[in-house]
Amino acid sequence: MNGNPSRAACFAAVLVTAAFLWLPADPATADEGASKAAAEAEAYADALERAVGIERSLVKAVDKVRLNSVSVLNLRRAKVPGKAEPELVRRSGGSGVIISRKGKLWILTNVHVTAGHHALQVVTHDGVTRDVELHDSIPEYDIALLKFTSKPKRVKFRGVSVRASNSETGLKEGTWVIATGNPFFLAEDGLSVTTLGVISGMGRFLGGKYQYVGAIQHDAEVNPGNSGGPLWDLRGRFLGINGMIAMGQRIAGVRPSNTGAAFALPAHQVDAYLRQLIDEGDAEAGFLGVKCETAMDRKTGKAMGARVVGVDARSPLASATPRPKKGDLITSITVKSSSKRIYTARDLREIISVLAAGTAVTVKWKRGKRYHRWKGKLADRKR
Amino acid sequence: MKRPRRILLPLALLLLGGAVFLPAPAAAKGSLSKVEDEFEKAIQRVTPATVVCRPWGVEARKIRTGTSGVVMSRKGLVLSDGDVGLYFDIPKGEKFKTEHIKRADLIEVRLPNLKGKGFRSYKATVIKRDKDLDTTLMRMEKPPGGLKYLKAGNSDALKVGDFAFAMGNSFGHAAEAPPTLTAGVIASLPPKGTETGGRYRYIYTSAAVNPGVNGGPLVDIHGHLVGTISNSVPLVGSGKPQDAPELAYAYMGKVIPVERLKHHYADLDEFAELFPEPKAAEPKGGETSALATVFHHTARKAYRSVVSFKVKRKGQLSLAEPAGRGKLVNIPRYLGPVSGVLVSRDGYILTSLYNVANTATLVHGQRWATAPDTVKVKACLEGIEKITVYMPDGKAAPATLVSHHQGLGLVLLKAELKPASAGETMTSHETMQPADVAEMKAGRFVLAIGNPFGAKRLDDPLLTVGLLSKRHVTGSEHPWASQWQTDAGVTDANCGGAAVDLQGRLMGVVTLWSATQHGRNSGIGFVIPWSEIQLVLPEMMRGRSYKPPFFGITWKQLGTELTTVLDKILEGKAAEKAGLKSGDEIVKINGDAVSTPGDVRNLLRGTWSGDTLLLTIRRGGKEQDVKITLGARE
Repeated sequence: MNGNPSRAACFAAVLVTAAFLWLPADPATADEGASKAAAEAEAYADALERAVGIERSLVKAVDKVRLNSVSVLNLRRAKVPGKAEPELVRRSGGSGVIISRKGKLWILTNVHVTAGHHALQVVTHDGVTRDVELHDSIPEYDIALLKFTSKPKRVKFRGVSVRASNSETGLKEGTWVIATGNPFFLAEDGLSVTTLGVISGMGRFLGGKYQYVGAIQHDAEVNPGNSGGPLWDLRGRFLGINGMIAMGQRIAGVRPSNTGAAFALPAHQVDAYLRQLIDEGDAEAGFLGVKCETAMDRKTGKAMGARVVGVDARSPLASATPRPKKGDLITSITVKSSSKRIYTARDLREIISVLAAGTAVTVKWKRGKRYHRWKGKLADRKR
Repeated sequence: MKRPRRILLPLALLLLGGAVFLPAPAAAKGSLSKVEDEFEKAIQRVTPATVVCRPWGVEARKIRTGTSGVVMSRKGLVLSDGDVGLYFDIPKGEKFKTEHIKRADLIEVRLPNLKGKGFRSYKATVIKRDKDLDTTLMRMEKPPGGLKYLKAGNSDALKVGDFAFAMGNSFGHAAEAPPTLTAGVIASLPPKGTETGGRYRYIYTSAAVNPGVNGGPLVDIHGHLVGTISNSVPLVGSGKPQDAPELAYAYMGKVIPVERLKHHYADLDEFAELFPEPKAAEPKGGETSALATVFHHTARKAYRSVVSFKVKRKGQLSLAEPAGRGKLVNIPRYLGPVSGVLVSRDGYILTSLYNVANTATLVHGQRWATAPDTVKVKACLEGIEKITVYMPDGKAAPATLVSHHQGLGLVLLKAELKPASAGETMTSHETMQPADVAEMKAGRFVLAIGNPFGAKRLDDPLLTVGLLSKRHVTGSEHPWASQWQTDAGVTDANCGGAAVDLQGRLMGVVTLWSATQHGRNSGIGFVIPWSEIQLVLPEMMRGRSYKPPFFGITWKQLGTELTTVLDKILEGKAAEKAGLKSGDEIVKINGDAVSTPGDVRNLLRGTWSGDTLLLTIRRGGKEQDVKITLGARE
């Protein structure tokens, strides 16, 4: 055979490699494999332990927040077959949260949950149905305050305190939230349904009959019946009241109910409303009566302020000189000697939304190149 | 169920020990904050780089929501949806026509001002628009200094169970505000396609995707771009076999993977700017990575016992709605592939009744009082011609319907499988261990494992993760009594699949709440708990079906209260056959005293139609015993 030596060497090398590969795994490698498997198992055991730790805290948080979550039943008088007199029948309902303020227990819910009621009841987490009545409400912002008709006895709930700081500081997109409530009456026995999500965005606005200004958007599942129910963080702090969801379009005749876009009135607004309703008593929502849109600087692309689109006849601003008109640009508002710059229509709505009728404000607006000021009090829409 | 393997047992004990001897709630609380911190870090990266894209200089009313986009370089490269710049220019008084749909090539890119309020707009011009891929590449004309952009991650390295964040202008709410965030997991990774150069064609996420988010980024836990959002997969309800691939991902977010984008844009001059070489290696995750690892591992483990099956009927069925409104429900000839759970090693498979009868027992809230429609279920089950099961080993097998349970909403199938070896009765397939009922509290994680893949079984299941929302109490009159509610997304694709806990133990069979309105993607899913299933499974395996037991009588009303005195005796039903007469009062059932129809119902719970009961009745002041064989409500 006169073969090429280098090729022969090459062939030998391949053979050697092949032989090496074919060698049965020696005990050392087997040990290595076993120790690697053991290390992997250990790493996984560690991961599982940490995951179980996280789960355990979740269970704790859920246990805690359920105590103060209630189901609200809206009863209406209706004719019942076989009865001469109309009877109270459950027609609709929603959710609520027990709060404590000024040494008393109250229930917060949405106005649209109590709409058209003849009587109201709540079912607390212990399964007891208790009679409640509407104390007061702020219909503009969908906030209703209920109270127990008699002092509840032998209760485990103590009511949560609504703190403005809960939603004003530390909340960010991505913060984990828990919603508790009574979707589709699935919690009519009082034990609320809990869903988990994250905060999607802050300061959302939804117009319409009920205005949600500066709302917290989140993706915890919320459905019809969750209305009026609380939103919590994982420490069990009250963050707000769930009231609205964005409804998707019908697809093949089926409307998906939850879309992962729910809106809650934030705790700091709820706190402001409670200050008006409980601390000061019988307050009405403040009304400025100007319709605005955000004005954008065409050159820089910067939002400049709230451009007036229309002025309501009942607006307190109607008495200002000169009277604001379409095209004017509202640039700032001063409340209690603190001035706030207005960039967008949303900024203005957010500030007005927490003020009661009668609050003294100073509005600054620009027409052409001149600035104008108006000092006055917010009106009551109903008057 | 499966016998625990010897190796697993010490491991399980070890873990159990860990669970029991890990008290420190303070440490646990810390771990949750760590999870939130890790979320926050990812979100801080993506928020400033997520933009809103609208046609430049077009009135707001002509734009529906605008789309979203993601800034990819400091010099202002922006990726967005294929439909970017879309608007509707309908002249006043005219009806909408397709030619009114316009597409601008000059785009307004809106950057939210995250420190203060408001936003800033920048002009951008389209570089490349790809309708097929559903992306558009644009460049901002005069990007601001210090523009924040997103780094590309690696979508090929994703695992089912990894956390994912979607961001964008959902429902137009972020038009003047920071973008909307939704969180979820990677739900499914379909096979890598050859036309995409061996990359994933799409990835699917359980993070909520709504109109307006299209074009926005999907990022991983490190805040790196793993894809751009295409849309949310609509439910295709035709039931035709060709629709099946999309049906598997109904309601999931559909995402174009970043590796596919890299492949697609490889020839572009902007490529290096768009996808620069990553400088640092991927950081290792902390608590979230532990969670994702467990989700992934557990899902894969459970997937070994989750099968897929298809149902072929003799023909399409048209049935009247159970509520009797005269509306017809069409049940298509072909159903599936849908999910089922292997519960014994010789081939018994449990699934939701919905999957074969197109009706769930847990019906819509307003109509819960309607009796389960036995006629409809019967018609559906009798119309089945063929069931084909795709086993975890990839093999197909014919299956037969063994029995069903109308109370729990279950169906039992039996696949004809070959035993593992000659002389054995069992196959080599695995089944799951059941979860401990007492431990299952609200707030625990629920992993819903679906297998809607049929013959094309993937390596990983369709996974959604949620909480155990509520354990509904046993004994109420609701059809969902004793069932467990979860907010893990339940769709047609994973209905009938397995619900497992973090340790991979079987909690029960996943089922839709309602077939019609609010069942899908409502965050209201149900788990038929194993604790209930195991009570009825032996009977079901014997071929016995459960229908709600029925006397065939009405109760006499006294004032406002119903009594246990019989009013009407329905012709040909159980009571008549037993010789009961109007005016008889039932005082005892099998020796237990009853005083209200509620008592009777409670005692009937757990009995099956066909069972024989001993009634003690009072007739004409005298007590006597009567034997009754229960019928079924039809």
